[in-house]
Parts: sequence; structure tokens; C-alpha cells
Amino acid sequence: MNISDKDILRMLMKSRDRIAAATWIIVRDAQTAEDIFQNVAIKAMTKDVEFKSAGELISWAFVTARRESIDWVRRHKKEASIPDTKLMEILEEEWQSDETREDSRLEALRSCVESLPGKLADLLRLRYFDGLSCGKVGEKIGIGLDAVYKRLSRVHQSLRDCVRSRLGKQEAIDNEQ
Amino acid sequence: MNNDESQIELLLRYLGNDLDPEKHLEVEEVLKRDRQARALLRELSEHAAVAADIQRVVGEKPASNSETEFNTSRQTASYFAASLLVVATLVLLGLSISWLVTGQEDRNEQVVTIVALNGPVEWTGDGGLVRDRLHVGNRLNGGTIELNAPDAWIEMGFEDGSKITLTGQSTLTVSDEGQKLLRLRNGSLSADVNDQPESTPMVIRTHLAELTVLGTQFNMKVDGLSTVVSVNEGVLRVKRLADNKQVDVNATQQIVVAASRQPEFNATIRPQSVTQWASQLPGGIIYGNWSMEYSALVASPLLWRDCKKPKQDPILLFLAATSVSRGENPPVELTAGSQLHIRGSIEKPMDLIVGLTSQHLGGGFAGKHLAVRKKESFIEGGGEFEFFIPVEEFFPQEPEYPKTALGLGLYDWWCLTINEDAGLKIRSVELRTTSDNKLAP
Repeated sequence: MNISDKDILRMLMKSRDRIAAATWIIVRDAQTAEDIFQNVAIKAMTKDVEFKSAGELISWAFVTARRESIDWVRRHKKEASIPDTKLMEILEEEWQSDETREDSRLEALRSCVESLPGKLADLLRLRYFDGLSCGKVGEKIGIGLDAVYKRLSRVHQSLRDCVRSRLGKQEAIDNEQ
Repeated sequence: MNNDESQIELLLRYLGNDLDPEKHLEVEEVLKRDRQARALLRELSEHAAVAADIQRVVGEKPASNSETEFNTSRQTASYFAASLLVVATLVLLGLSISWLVTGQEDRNEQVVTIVALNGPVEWTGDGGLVRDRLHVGNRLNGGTIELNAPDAWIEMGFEDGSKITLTGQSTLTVSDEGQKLLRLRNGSLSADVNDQPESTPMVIRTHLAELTVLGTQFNMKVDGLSTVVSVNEGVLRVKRLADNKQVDVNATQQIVVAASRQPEFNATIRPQSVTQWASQLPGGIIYGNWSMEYSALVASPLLWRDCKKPKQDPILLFLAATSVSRGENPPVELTAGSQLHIRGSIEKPMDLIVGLTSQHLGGGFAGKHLAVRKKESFIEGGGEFEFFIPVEEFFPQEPEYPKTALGLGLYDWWCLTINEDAGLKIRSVELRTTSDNKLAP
């Protein structure tokens, strides 16, 4: 039995963070990644081929997003490098297969990002929301390129630690129950 | 910096295109071979995507909470094969560390504040930053506002109390460097402008005209063919860019600046409103695709996100919309007893939502009103339909809109289904009155 349009949208929204992340690796611009996700969602609900399973839908969505991303880079950033197709295929496969506790992990990530102290949050905002290159981030806040990368690395590591900590606490609560 | 951070930095440089080509390829080869490296890459890209999404939801600054979670002890397990660590070390050995910090970032001067908004609205600000999650109270610097649906609108206020309202699909660029400069590329604008200094009036440009505004209330509509300006209070000067001719337009007057060659360029008294209207499809289409095969306007998909509810998932709409009172057409008044007569077809019966955008007859955006035809109203299995919807049946889309559309001017209409493509096609739309001996059931 084919998936209804309503369920298609629900399933895509559930995988939105992963599809957006895969798209971001190619386009390196969060707003564009979001636009591409939206285009993929519309295509999923209006294309002729129907989806028989969530797996089929999500697989199609990753591939379609990748193609749109590559087209976008070729149109807008002609000099930019595009990640190797084989690498992207492997990443997408792993994103789809690695679904263990995916929802709770991404939920933990969201909480951790929201809990970031002001200056660290500003750094992420400049780099990923404003879409500035690390060089431009450095110019904006008055530090060198290397310092930007070191600070960013620490923020990302902090987020990883925070997510692990939250998942660990949740697991302990679940075990008690 | 520990091993994990070195590996993260290496991947961030890879993602930032800040590695030399040879190192870039080396990292990519390692990623293809090493599962743990790929897991880290996936995490970093998720951080980027989620951080940007949260910023869209929260606004200009996310809430800043305690730092305790970031003081936990770090794990030191290595996640990379030795090959990647070697590459990381070789790259980082040549780098110098700069910790010079000033801590002050420039803030562009805010130009407008959002007073109210509805529907999908995007703001492109300094440096091409696009924001689609806007809120009442957001202060925006110079940039471009885009409204992406027929029922979208936004009201913005300047520091001096002047207000502008954009409605329907519109694009407006705003700046204020001591003088308010606006560019209306397309769409509809209402403005209530307080007195401006004579040396620095508000200036509004379209592709055909330039308006000089010292203090007035007016409306303007821009499309590819014309710029139409109607003045409700005060006076403003309109210059036709083709030949620099200028005309003063006073209250109750309007002027049309057309793309076609027209020697006359005069302000005229606004036409009286009418009470009937009929669509002239395929003319006037705002949204949807004209099908020659079906001689109908076919509803098209639109992913609709309400700016006021940023955490809510977007809704998929299948939408058809046309303009009613645009350009130099007289206003169409919604009077007691009038009905919207819609003819079309649907392949799969579903609830149909019909909407109207209205303006005050004296000028200015008034509101949006809706009516619903339940799926039971359609023939089972789909097919042709014909509805007569009394204007009294339409209810306000938002609480702040007028309780009734009666007495207002019909600006445009739309109809849609939600979440599913019902194969909606519109053949004609009319506003009919029963007082003209035209039969209406």
C-alpha cells in the first residue's frame, strides 16, 4: 500500500535534520539547505511515482536533495568543490541505517545547542546561520582564521560531550523505570 | 587541544575549503575508508544544520543558559584511524595561533520594526542573509522583504512612526541612511507616512516610477505592466522615469504609470467602486498554472509556513489564486447579498477553503476572510462543481481582521486544499449580486 501525502510529509519532517545535514555538506549554506529540503518535500508529494515504504521515501529524498544541491553549487558557486559522489552515497546510507535512538540523539542535540552560552552560540550563528566563511567570521569578531577554527572545534566537541551526557542521563532514567 | 578537537578542526577546514587541494583529497580518501571519520563528519554537519534551524526559530539571539554541561570531562578515545591523525598533524604543524580578540561586532542600524505579519515572509538582509522565521518586534536593518503567498502580509514601522503594509506576493527593498528609500519591485503597498523633512523625503521607486513622499496616506500596486498610485490623504509627487515628467497626486486621486507608450500622464479622480466582477482567466493569475488542455486554472503546491508559529511544521497547500482589483481597475465592493460564484472541477472530494483579501474602499489593506466547502458538498468520486458563497458567510482569518468582509473592497481571492492534491481546477470566478436581476440560487 502506498504512503499517503500526509504521511510522506510527516516522515520527511522526522528525517529533516539528517537530510538538511547531508545537503549542507554539499552547499555549505544552511538557508539553501532548508530551501532544497522544502523543494524535495514538495516533489515527494507531487511526483508520479509513489512510495511503498518509509525507507524508499527517505532514500529517494536523500538522492534528490543531493542532486539539487549539486545543481545549486554548479549554478551559484562555480569555483567550489563538490564532495565525492561515492562519499556522499556512503554517508547517506549510514544516515539511513544508523537510526538507533536517532530521535532522542537529535533532540538532545537541539537542547544542547539551545543551552550554549552567548559567545559560543554567536560563533555558531555567524558560521552556520549567517553562512559566513571562517575567514569572514574572524574578520567580524577580530580574530585570525586559525583561532576561529580552534574555537569552532571546541564548540563542536562541547556539543558532542553534551549530547553524550544527555543521552547517558536519559538511559539511566529509562533503566530505572 | 586534544586529538578529538584536532580531528574536528581538520574536518571543519575540509568543510570550509581551507585545506590545500592535496590535503583536501587526502581527507576525502580517508573519509571514504574510515567509518568513524564519517560518523564525525555526519555529527558536525548535523550540528551546523540544527544550529541554523534553531537560530531561525529563536530569532536574533538564542537564549543563553548555564555553562555547566560544557564543563564535563572529555573522553579521550581516538575515533580516527592512524592515517587521518597523521594527516591532521602534518596540516596543523605549520599553523600559527592568533588569540587577538576585540570582542566588538558591528551592528547595522535597524531601519524597521515588524508590527504584525502573517504567512510565508522572508527577509534578506546584510550580506545576503535570508531569514524566514520572523516575529513581531523583530528589528530589521536594510534589506529586502518577500511575501511568498497570496495571503501573506506584513506591517512594519519606522522610528518616526510611519508605517507600511505589504500584502500578497510582493517584494520590497528598504533602507534608511538619513532618508527612507524603498524599492517596490512587485506587489501591493499601503503607507501611512508622517511628515518627512523636505530635504530628505521618503522616496519609493518602481521600475516605472519614483514617488516623493513628504507625509501622506496612499496605496500603490506594481506589476510588470504598470505602477498605480492612489492617494487617500495629503499629496505626493510621482515622476515617470521614462521621461522624468512629474505630477502631484492629491487625496482621492490616482495615477497610472504604464509600461506602454502613453503621452498622457495625469492624476485622475479615483473611479467609483463597482459591485460586480468576473474573472478573465488566464489573466490575473497570482498562483496556479493555466492549463490550455482543461481551459482552467490548476491549483499548484505551496509549502506554507506561518511566521507566527515557527515551531509548527510547514503545511502543504494546493493553491489557485487570482487578482480582482489591481492596476487601474475600479475597486469592487462587497455588498450585502452578493455572492462569490465559483465554477471548477475536483478529482478527489476534499474540504475546499476559499479566501478573500480585502481593502478599505478609501485605501489600505483591510483583512482576509475565509469560507469552507466541505468535501461532502462535492459529487462522490469528484467531477464538476459550482458554488455560490454569500459574502456574509466569510469569516475573518485572524482575530484582528474586520468581523465581516461586507463594505470592503475585494482585492484578490484564492482557493486551496490542504496536504493532498485533489486535482482542483478553476474555470471561472464571479462576484454577483442578487439586486441586479441576476439569478443566484
